[in-house]
Amino acid sequence: MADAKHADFKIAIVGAGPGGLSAAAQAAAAGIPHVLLESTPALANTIQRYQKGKHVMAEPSRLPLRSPLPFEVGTRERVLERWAEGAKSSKMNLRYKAEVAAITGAIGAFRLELKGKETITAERVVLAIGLQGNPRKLGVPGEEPRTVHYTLDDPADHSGETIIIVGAGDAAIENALALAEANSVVLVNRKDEFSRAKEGNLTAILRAIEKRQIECFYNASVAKIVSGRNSSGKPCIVTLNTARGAAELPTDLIIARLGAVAPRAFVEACGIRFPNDEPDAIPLLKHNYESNVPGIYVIGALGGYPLIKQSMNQGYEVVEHIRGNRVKPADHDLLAEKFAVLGANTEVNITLANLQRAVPLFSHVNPLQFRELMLESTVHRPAAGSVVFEHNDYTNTLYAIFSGTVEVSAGPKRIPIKRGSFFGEMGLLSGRRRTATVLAGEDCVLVEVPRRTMNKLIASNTQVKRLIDEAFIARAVQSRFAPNTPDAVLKQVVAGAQLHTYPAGAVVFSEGDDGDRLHLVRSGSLTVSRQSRNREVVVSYVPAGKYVGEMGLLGGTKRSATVRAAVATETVSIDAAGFALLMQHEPGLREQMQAEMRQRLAANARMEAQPDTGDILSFLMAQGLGEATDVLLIDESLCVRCDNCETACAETHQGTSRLDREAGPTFANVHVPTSCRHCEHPHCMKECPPDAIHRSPNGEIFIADNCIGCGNCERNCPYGVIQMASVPAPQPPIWQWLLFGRGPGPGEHKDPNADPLATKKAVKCDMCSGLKGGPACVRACPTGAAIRIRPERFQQLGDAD
Amino acid sequence: MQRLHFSFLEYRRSRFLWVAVLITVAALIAYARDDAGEPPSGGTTLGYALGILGALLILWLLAYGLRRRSYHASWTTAQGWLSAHVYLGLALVVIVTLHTGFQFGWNVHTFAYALLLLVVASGCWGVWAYLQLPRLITDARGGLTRADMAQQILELDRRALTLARAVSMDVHRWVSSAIEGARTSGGAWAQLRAKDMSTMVIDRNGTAASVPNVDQYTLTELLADLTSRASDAKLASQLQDLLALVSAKVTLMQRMRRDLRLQGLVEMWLLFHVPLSLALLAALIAHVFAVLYYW
Amino acid sequence: MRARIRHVTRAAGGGLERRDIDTTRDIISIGRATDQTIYLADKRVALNHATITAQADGRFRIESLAFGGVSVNGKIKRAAVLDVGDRISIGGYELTIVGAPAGWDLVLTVEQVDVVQISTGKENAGLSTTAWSRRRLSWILFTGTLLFTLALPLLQPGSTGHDATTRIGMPSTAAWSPGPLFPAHSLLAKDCAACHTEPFVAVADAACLACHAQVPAHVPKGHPTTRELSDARCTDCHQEHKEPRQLVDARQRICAECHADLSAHPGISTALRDAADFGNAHPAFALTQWVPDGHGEATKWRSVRDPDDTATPRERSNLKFTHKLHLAPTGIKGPDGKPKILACADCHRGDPAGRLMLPVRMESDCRECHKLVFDANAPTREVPHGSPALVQMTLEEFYSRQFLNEAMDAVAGGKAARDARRPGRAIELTPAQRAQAADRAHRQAQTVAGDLFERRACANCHEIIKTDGADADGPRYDVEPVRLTTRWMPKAAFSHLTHRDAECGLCHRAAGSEVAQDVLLPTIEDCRGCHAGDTGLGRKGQRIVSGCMMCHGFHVTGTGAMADQ
Repeated sequence: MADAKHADFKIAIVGAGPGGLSAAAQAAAAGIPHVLLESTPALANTIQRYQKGKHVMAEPSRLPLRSPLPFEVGTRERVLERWAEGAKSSKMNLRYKAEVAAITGAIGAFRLELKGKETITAERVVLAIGLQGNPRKLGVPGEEPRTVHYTLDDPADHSGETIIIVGAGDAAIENALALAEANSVVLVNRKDEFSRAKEGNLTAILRAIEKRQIECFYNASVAKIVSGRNSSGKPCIVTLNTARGAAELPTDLIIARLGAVAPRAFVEACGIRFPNDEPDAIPLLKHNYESNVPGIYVIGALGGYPLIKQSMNQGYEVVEHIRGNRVKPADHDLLAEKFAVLGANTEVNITLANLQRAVPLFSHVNPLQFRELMLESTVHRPAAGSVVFEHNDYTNTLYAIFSGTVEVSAGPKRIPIKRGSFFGEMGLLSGRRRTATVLAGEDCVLVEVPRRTMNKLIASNTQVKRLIDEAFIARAVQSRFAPNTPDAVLKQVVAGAQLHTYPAGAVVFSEGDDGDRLHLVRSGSLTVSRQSRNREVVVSYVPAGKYVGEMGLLGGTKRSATVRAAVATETVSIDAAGFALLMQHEPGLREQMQAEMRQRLAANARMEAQPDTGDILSFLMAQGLGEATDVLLIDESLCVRCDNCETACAETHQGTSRLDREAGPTFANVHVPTSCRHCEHPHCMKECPPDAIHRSPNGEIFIADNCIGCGNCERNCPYGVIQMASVPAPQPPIWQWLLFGRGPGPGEHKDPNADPLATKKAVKCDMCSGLKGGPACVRACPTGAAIRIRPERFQQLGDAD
Repeated sequence: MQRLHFSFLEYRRSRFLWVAVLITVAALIAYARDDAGEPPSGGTTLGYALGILGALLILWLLAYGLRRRSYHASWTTAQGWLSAHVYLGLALVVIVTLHTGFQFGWNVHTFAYALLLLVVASGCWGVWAYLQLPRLITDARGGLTRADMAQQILELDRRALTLARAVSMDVHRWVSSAIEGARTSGGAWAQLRAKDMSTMVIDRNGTAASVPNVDQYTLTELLADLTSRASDAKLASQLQDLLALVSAKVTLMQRMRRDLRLQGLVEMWLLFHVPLSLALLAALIAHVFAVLYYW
Repeated sequence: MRARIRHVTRAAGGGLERRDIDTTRDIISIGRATDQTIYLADKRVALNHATITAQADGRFRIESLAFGGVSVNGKIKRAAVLDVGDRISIGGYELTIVGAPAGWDLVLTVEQVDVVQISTGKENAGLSTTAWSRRRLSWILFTGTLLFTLALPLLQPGSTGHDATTRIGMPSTAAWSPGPLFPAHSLLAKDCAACHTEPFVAVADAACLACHAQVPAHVPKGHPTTRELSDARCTDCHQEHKEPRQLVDARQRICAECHADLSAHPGISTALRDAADFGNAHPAFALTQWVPDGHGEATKWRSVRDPDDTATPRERSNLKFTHKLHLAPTGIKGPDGKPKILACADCHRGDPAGRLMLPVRMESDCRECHKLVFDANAPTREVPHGSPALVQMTLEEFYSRQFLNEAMDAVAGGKAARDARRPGRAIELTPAQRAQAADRAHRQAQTVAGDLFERRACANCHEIIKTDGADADGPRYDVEPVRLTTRWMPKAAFSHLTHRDAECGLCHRAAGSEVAQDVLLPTIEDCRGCHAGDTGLGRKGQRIVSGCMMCHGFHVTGTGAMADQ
């Protein structure tokens, strides 16, 4: 205990968030001299900023909580209250308003300099400072601390002032609402909507703007600030770049709420290194959360664990590590459970290591992340010959082969996949149905990784992305063209292959170019159009999994048509050389291609014959139906506007219609109402905190009951088909309405005196998966105007049978 | 490739047309080959049979109103029901006519029969409306939803008000009172005739008077007059802009009224069909009651 | 006071526009009327809504003239003293008191915070939102129809007049009548309840029998069949309210139900044989005729329905006659001795109605030829066509006179002398002479009578019974009584009238008949020559549809009244 002499504490914990509190509590419980330093006057600053009464979740729910502090699902107030009690009862050494300016020294003797010249020494330091604390700056000419603030301490301080609030986040909105009481508030929003706001805030702010309590400028930004005397008598005049040009506003105060970034500077000042320069990069950590600086540990959001429960567990674990106790991570038992199917009761860590070693894909993942991944994943040990997934299933998980082999049966052929590699990436990437059936081989062990987890990994890990892409290309080529080609040759071809990403509308190649590459659509979709009677006619639609450009390769001629990306699209292209190689090794490939080419030529000719079909097609593509998998279309020459479809939808879905018949564009009597298209890569699935949005095997995207009403999906859907709905008013029996008009009648659920801020849940079209006989909207249409179809059938629309 | 959309008449290759034809032919044959030893009427065995069949059909056809609103019904589609509703409704005429045995008179029974014919006639009108009007509606809308039009009108109003304020207080009063008095819709009759019920308030020697303002005519007149007498160029151009806004609004309002009118026409036949069907139900009850009461 | 009214407008894109209006009025009036100082175009604002006036202390006071009051800083007030920063909202407008710069008493901004939304969108689209509610119309029509077609008629049952409405124009139950009544019943049309005695109960026989009490039944009372027939109702066959009017349901099915197979109906014991259809399921005609029992005066006549349906039934009327002789194509010796050709009508006559034939009568039908003369010397004298006793008396009387005259001539010396004698001088005959003449006359009569009865007149047609008496008054003659059958088929209705255009011989084959016993009625086959069954035009060619009802009726005379059963 020599160190104890010249160190005030054994552990200094920075940041009284969930992690910090938990660590401190654990230290206190273990009787370790410690200090918990919190820069703000309250604990759990981040949670404090939550909107009032927010429902705080305890994800991952499977994970047990192992902290002396209590924590369970509940309202923000309840959670904070419990922690406050816990902090008191645990007798932890907690210091408010103690902001750490710098950390120097090394293990055993760290010096923490607090603002206000005080210095604390500690043997070990635990950084539990979340991501809050250093706001993004406004950074415009004329900016002065006097006129530009980044926080709002107390709304009551201001009255009768003109205040500009910059930002569209919750903080900005909450400030604006608070200030609007006594001031004239102008909100400056960089976008044309409040995409980052929580649903409650959103409705509140929109209502305020509608009522003109708050003036809002969309697509606007602060251009410059001119302070000093002026006619208006206000301290400064702010010039805004608005959608309608510049606007000058005499202003008292500007409050910028532009979110926060990781306090990287501070962290790096402590000597901690980041792997790359991405803004969202995470410091490299050991399994015991120790950073590259011995003695400094990083937990919580800063360490890449945004979830409360994780941070709290880490708080406990890190202290135990420091005490020298080997703690099994909280997820140990869960993982052990998962690995039970493997039979051999090997140590979890070893199994994990084996897995990482066995599967190259995983070898690039850092151990902690891999644990996370495994927690989400499942381990299968299917019987030999049993089906892993069926052709045309709508599942989109990725499988890795831990041991044994599997067989892909694409058509008559059987392609084996060896140990250590993975499969299912097609479904994962294209978001379309499975392209083949996969059968388990002799005693194989598979790891199934859910789409969400995998996408997270791909997004954050470039190597993983590369591996998957390569595999995808190889498989795509193999299954499409070259089942019998030896891998060596395949490798060459793949080497020549390229991955392209096109934004919606981008040209892949245009009529008259030299055709040298064949494009295989990986995700999204393409439209093929041709110049005819000096205007462009769309002649066909190429969904993910199909390819274009083979004509160019075969004939080596010029492109006969222009190909565009209907939506954001990824393609894999093979060059002529590579393709020639394939055709050498694949007898009959040429014939096959020529046959398909003939078919396509015929189809194109037919389509050109009836240009309006092409027009309809391009119209539909313009509506973003390129990424759809199932669309509701209304033939307005049949639709009598009875709105029975909406009513039916409302009636079959707790009183809220998931479709808006009238809204949406029309072309040549084809009307695209506002209704879910069940995109191949649903935008709504992004950022769903409880991961409540799923795609069922039949293909429909649905929202599970564990929706918490955060409203992310509503904002993320570019087609506005998701709404936040509250509980409907009770309905009398139908006959009472028919006879006496006792309401609410069919579809008239809107409760006039329903509280707009009441807890709502996201609702969207689920294709009436609960009902027999298909979507209610279609079945309720008396005239047959409403139909739901797959994009593959769009070309039939123009046909007059 | 065959079409994706089928009207309710073509539902499942018009299967219900054939059902209806079948029933009709069967009824006709039975009627032709019937030997009752008495003149044909509702009283013969066949008469009763046809009568019961007809009554059941009527009840079933009435049930369509319920089926259309029972959205959880999993088997059959509303389209199928409508298709059947139309075709069997037509077959009903034949069946009931045979039921009468062409014995008519000034009595409840013939009254019920007449009602039936009226109901079916209004139904045919409905079929026509359902097949013809939707296209017109689409054309009339010109790709705008009614909400869009309202929004645009609102926007025009805002700009007009601003402009008007810039011109003079009087003009502002005209414009705002015209906005105040603008009407796109109205009573059923107004809707069907697409009549403009708009009014505005003008200043008649010091007192406010509300005058009709069809297609903003009054307002336009006032503004035009002012423009012609406008002294400086700025004022003139402002008034020009104002007039432009007003005429734009007029176009929108006309389009909106036309839309409402078509919508009304699509619904109008129901104003006859439904109440008459209910009357028919009543008459049917009376008919059956009378027959049984004086058996 | 000097007041500046600043109208503020926020452009849609943002930015403010101002327009100042200065006034020196002492009272600033606020309202929707065009003459107001501050004119607010909003239907929620009253024409003259409020006024702002200066107070002694230099502050300003707003007073609401409208019922609604004004809202000052969010509170509804009738009147309020205003300070800088106060916000007055009226309708969609907001007035704010701004600090007044030097030279001004009052500065306030007027801003329209929400433009009046013109009526639009879904809320008032479509007719359903107007007064024309389908539901309302439906209710009206439904209840109305029910009232006029059901309720009102029920309120006045036994209504007056067969017109669909009562005198006061209200619909009556007569409006329920599906059709006109048979003329004979038109009286009843005024009173539905006359026949429809009980609601919801089919018209009962009682109603019919109330008038038609005497209609004969189908079978006599107590007949085993009555039970079978008990559930038969008048209305089964007699339907009313039909057009074209028709009172009898003549379908032979109704008869055939039982008569096709009587044996199948237990308890029926009848001589009737099964008959289902005249065309193909009808027994041969069974004749009913008078049959003599005993002889002479003792003869009793029985009507017998041909006991054994032999192919050729024999007639038993005790008359001797041959049609062959009379209808001989060469003719028969007429009264004047010349041959005469006879037709049926020379001897047979129909009844006045022309339905049945009258029985042949000696006096009217035969006498012309068959004269009953007996003495060649007296060709004009005949015996009466009467009892044998009368005939003999006639002969006695005739010959007595002849022989007495002869005797007197002998006494007077010749006929001339007897005729020339003086009056008062009688020719006296002796009793012996008288007895002799009487005796001769008696013997002569005997001889002639024998001749008449046994050979000449009577025996031609009649069966003669001769009984030898005492020698004194000679043999005694009797004639078997004669009774001709006039209705051979009493259960069937036949009329010669309807067949009058046909040759008699078509049905009655008389020409070849040599014996009187021949019954010359047509057989069923003869009838079927023209009459098919109910099935209509028979298999071979056009024939007359003849259901049961053509010859037979349901109500059989002599079975007693329906009412009694």
